[in-house]
Amino acid sequence: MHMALQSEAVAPLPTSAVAMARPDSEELVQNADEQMAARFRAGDATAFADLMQRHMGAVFGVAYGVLHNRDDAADVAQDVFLKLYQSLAVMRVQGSLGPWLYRVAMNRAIDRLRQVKRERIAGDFADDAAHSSLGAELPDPSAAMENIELRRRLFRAMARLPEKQRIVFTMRHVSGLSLDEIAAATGCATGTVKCHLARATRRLRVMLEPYLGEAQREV
Amino acid sequence: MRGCNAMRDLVALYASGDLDEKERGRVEAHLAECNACRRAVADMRGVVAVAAAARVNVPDDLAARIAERVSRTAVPTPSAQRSFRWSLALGYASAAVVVFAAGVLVGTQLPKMQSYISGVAQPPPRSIARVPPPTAPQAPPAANPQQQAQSTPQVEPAPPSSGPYVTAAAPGSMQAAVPPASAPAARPAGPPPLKAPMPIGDDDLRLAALPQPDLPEPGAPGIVRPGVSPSRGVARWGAIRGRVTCAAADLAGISLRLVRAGDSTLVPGVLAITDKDGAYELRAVPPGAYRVYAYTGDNPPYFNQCSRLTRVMRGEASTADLQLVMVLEAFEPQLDQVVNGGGLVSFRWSACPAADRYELTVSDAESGAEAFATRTVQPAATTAASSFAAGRAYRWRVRAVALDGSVIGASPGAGGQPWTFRVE
Repeated sequence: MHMALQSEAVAPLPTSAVAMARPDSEELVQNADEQMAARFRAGDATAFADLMQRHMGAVFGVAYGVLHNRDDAADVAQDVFLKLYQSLAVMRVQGSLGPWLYRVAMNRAIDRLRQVKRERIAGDFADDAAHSSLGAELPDPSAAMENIELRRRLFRAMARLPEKQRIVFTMRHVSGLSLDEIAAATGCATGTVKCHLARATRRLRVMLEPYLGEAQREV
Repeated sequence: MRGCNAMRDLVALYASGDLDEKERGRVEAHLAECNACRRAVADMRGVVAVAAAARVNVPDDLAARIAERVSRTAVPTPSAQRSFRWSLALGYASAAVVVFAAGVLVGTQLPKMQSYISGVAQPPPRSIARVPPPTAPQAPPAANPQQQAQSTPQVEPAPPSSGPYVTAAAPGSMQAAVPPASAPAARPAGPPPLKAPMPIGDDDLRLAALPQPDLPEPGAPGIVRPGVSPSRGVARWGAIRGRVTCAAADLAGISLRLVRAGDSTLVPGVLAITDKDGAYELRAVPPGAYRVYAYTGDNPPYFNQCSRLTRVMRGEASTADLQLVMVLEAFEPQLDQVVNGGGLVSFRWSACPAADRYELTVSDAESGAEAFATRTVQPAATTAASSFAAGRAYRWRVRAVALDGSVIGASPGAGGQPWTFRVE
């Protein structure tokens, strides 16, 4: 029984009913997922770890794009791979597992977002700063050298973007996903993703213009 | 400039590097003659660069955490042909086996039982783990009431002779990856893998399948009752345990409160105090997502601090450890001190016990641009004052890092008085 796509709830983003776009990754990559799934079914204990390694980054990135919080995103990523683990034996894998995983991650993340309904969408940093002088997650050494203040402003500005723009922009630039991956996660056409991305970038520029120093302009 | 409106989305995508070559050519042609759009591109590149600098990486422990959770999850039998319905049937059938095996081990009813099973599910389940049922498991509705009645709590693991249905792990099944014995061992109160074959990761199902925990009812003596109305279904609680560690100090008496992850409010009535080893336990916690907040007192040598997000499931104890960060003190330059621009600037700060090294960063107080950074073993560093522009305010920060790389001391962050100085 084919239960890969039906079992997950309908797209929560009311963007468009465009069918799920699949990333045009090379055939090799897609076959790799099929092979790993076959190995998993054959009882190969390493197959799941391989699958996890391949997709963990993007799945985490999708969840972070929605949630703006590393802990929550990590929780969602765990749920997603647990679901994969439970489904892998009975689902038919054709091509890459990526789109399915991103979709599940997206839906779970949106559920979680509703659940926590946070005012602190303004990102890890603002969130932690709100709790204590030094948050649960200290900025890593390289982050300490960045312009923390501007980053915080950026996250606040991102929190004020319309939901879809915020998600697409975060996924693209903070999570570092490709346009195709974002399209697969959101269930939008790539063109739609680009449109949200362009609008988000323009809007952020307007919001942050006063703070963009010469240093940033020269990047 | 005419045409800007039509180009503005393309210009934005150009700035973020998301255009193909043909479109790039179009935009560049436009930029060549449009000042405003060139400025816009520069600004938007700045925005994108700031976002990219905040790039999130996958947490180091995520793979391990997933592996751990997966290993606690009972394994679906790898069978490409089996449908969801089948797996449910198998779930019930295997439940019946466990209930049955618990009651009458090798009894006269075995043949009947086998026929019962084979009536429900064929082919026989291949990978049902042999589980010593922790307590009398909740029998699923499909189980025969008569057999339920005969099941008794005092049970032994079913001997191999009780049939292939109970013990046989199919060769090559995923049991190889996750030894069946480890699953119940990892979580003693956890469910037997009866629900194993359910391929849908439905949290509610998982919760419903959990054996009811042996937790005190809210309102029981000694338990502070959290603010949840008893009318909300069966009130069952979880707990959070953990340990507070820090560079060196008396760890007893640090108070721990619970902060809801959603709205960051304190959960009333739930609190704990560390013992002399820094261990604590927060009890009677309603299921949900929380951070544990460590309050170090009125005269803290340590920062008050929140733990990572932790989820509490009913009937389970989750852990949240906190590494407290020592508050460092600036000796030199002192707050807003003006330093002679001709010579050297020396930095000195209070030492942090157990620190392996200190990381010093000096940045422009306004723009945040880094001016100087170094690592030292001593709580002091020196550099030429010429590294800094005269008349500007600089902020300096220090982090004390332990051998294992964790931060155990720091200068005041967002909430405290920043360390600044000027060069004349």
